[in-house]
Amino acid sequence: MLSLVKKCRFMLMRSLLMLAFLAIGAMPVWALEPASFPEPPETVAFNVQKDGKSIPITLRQLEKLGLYKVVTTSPFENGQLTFQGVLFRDVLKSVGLEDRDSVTLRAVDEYVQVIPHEDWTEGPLLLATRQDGELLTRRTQGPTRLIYPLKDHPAFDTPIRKPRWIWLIKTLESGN
Amino acid sequence: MVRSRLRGWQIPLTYGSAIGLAAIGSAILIVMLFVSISKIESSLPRFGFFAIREFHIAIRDVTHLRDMISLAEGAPNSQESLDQLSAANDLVYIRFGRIDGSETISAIPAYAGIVPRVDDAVKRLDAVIAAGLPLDQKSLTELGLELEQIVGRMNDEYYKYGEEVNADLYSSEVSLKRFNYQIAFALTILSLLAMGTAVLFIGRRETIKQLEFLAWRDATTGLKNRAWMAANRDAMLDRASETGKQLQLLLIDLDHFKSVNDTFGHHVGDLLLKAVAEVLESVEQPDDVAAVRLGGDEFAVMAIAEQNVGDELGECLREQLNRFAELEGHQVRIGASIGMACFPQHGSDISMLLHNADSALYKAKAEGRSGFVTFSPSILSQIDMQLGEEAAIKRALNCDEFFLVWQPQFELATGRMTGAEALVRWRDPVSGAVRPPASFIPIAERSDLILELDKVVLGKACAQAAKWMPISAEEFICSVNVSGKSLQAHAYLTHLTEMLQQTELPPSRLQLEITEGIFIQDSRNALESIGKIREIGVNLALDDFGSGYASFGYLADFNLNQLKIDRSFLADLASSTRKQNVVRGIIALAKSLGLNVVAEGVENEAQLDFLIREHCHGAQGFFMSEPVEERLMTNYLIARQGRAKHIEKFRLGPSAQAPTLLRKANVVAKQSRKTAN
Repeated sequence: MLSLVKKCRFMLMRSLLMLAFLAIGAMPVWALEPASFPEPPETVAFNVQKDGKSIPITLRQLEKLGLYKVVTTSPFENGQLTFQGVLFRDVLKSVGLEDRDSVTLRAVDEYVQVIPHEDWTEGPLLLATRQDGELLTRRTQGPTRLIYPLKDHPAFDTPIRKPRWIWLIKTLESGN
Repeated sequence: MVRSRLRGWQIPLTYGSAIGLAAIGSAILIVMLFVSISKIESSLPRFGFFAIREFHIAIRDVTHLRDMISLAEGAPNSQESLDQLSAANDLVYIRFGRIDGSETISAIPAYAGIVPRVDDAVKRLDAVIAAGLPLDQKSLTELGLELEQIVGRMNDEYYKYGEEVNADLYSSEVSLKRFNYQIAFALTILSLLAMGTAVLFIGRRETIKQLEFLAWRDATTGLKNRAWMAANRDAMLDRASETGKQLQLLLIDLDHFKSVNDTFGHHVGDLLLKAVAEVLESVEQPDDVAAVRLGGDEFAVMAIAEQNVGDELGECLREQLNRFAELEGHQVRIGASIGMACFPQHGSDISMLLHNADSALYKAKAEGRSGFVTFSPSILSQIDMQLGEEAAIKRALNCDEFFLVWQPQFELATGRMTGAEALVRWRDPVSGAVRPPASFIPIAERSDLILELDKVVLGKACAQAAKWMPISAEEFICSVNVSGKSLQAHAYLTHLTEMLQQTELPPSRLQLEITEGIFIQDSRNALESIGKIREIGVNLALDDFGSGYASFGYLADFNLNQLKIDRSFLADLASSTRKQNVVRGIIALAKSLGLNVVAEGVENEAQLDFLIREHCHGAQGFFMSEPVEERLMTNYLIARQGRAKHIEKFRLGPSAQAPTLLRKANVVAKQSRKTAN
């Protein structure tokens, strides 16, 4: 055994290093383009309902998590749309809901959707705050909306995910 | 009913037209089914589920906006109402302006008409909201009414569309139901067609197979027929030669089949054939042994067997085919002659085998029926000999080589000679030797030469009898043997009448001796011939009585004159009391029927004594006199008659037989006188 170790030391070190990296995190790296924009105002984007408490999250807080740019088509609108926003996973991590089975998003018009765990772990699920660089307003289906990047992750293009393009997000809660 | 026979080319036509009709019917059915499906499909409302849901959500948002306007009207100065109004307006804007409603528009055309109105209302409301607090009541009221109308319109369209969908669904449900029945009907028809076609084709195949089977089979017996043999004999021969085995070819010919048919009728004949076929079938084996009916009363068996197998099959068949069988209540005798030839000993190809088997069969028949003969090369020469014999007899007939000898019959009561039996002899012209009848009579009987021979014998006998008339007593009767064949021939009777006329012989001076065989072979014709003979006035005697198929019925049916006891009864007469009783019985029977009874083959004094004691009418045999030539007979007759003046004409011959004759006649006379005393 020792003679084997002595013989191919270099190969051994390399494979150990790779194992270490694997062990550290199954943190998939998605090739999303990062973006940077000037700081947004301190407006409330949505509330997080956690343990009976309602925690407001502001746009500034959100955009601090790291903006990414996504170009995708939408099942509800025409043409190629460019969105900038944060990874939904980062958002959930920051509020401590990342390890839940699912979360529930409520919209202003009483629309509710349950987002399962695999949606934010499988692919680069985006919580968009800007469209074409412009901050989303209520009239433009803001202040935040959930975007499934169909071009970056074509596996998202299934009928069951079509209703999950929730906009006018009002509340985020751990949900079943 | 006119039977329509289909010609060859018409059969595929009928099948083709039947299949064509079936195909057309199926096509029509399937087309109808497709039309139904398309009707259902077209009646189904083409709506996307998202579209109807979108419309519903759109109605909800517009209704919400209208409600917010109503609230704002009530509190035009409240910031809260402004916010809510703004939020509702934004929602409607998003719903109608930003979200692409093409699906909804394409599914629900009415939606397209509503969108611009809503957009316009939203724009106007934007202006009102932008103006800020206090909200313009008038505009709000206007917009409220407008939105009220829009909402009403949307609801109407929604329900209208729903009703359309409902109606479509209902009609499509009806169509679907009808379609189900159509499917069921079509499937039934198609399956019936399929089954019918299958039945037709399977039936046709079965019929063809059966016809093929029957084509190789004989109709009466069910055995393979001659055609089968012709088709398969070479193959069997090849198979035998390849495997190094021998092929035994047995030809079987039934004996007296024609007489069975004539005696008992053709249905019994058929039953006989079937019985024979049963026996032959029992020896059949699938590939090795085949039994064939060649036609008429001929059968054949082809057997592939090991080289060392000999006559077992032939002997077995001979045993089974020569016995009595009960057919329709009659006891019928089955008899068959079998001739066998084997490959490769007796021939290398099938025609040679057939020829040799045929020769063997001929020999089997010649040797007396019911025989089994295996071919051997000597048979050919024997047959040649036989054919040669037949030719010789023919020549002898032409060259008049046959002559008669006479054996006298004596009346036991008086010792007088009451008649003589004519026996035929053949003098060989080359060697001068005399051939006994046993050497040529059987050959003559097998062919038709016996007819000619009998005629010749009759002619000679009549002539001689006529010659003897002046020197013989009135009751002196000349007897002539007649074969069964001759008796049935019309020509013989004509010849008889001719001869009687020609020789001017009184018919009562002539007697024909017939054997019992004639009754077996052809009783109907026999009765006719006998009747005619009696009509002519010629006497009839039944020869060899008791030796064969004796039936007292014949004695009753036929008007005979004389009964001749077979010589076999006189042999061992002294030792067998049973035979004595039989002879007594025959004598008594003859006497009771008024028949003259004569015993044949008297060879010693004891027999003669017995016959005299039992009051037998007459006797004939070596003890009294062996058959003598005409000259001697003539001399004796003259001597007996005591016509001295004729002695110069009929000189006593140098032979010593005349005194012997005289002596014996005296002995008989003495005996009878002794017993009478």
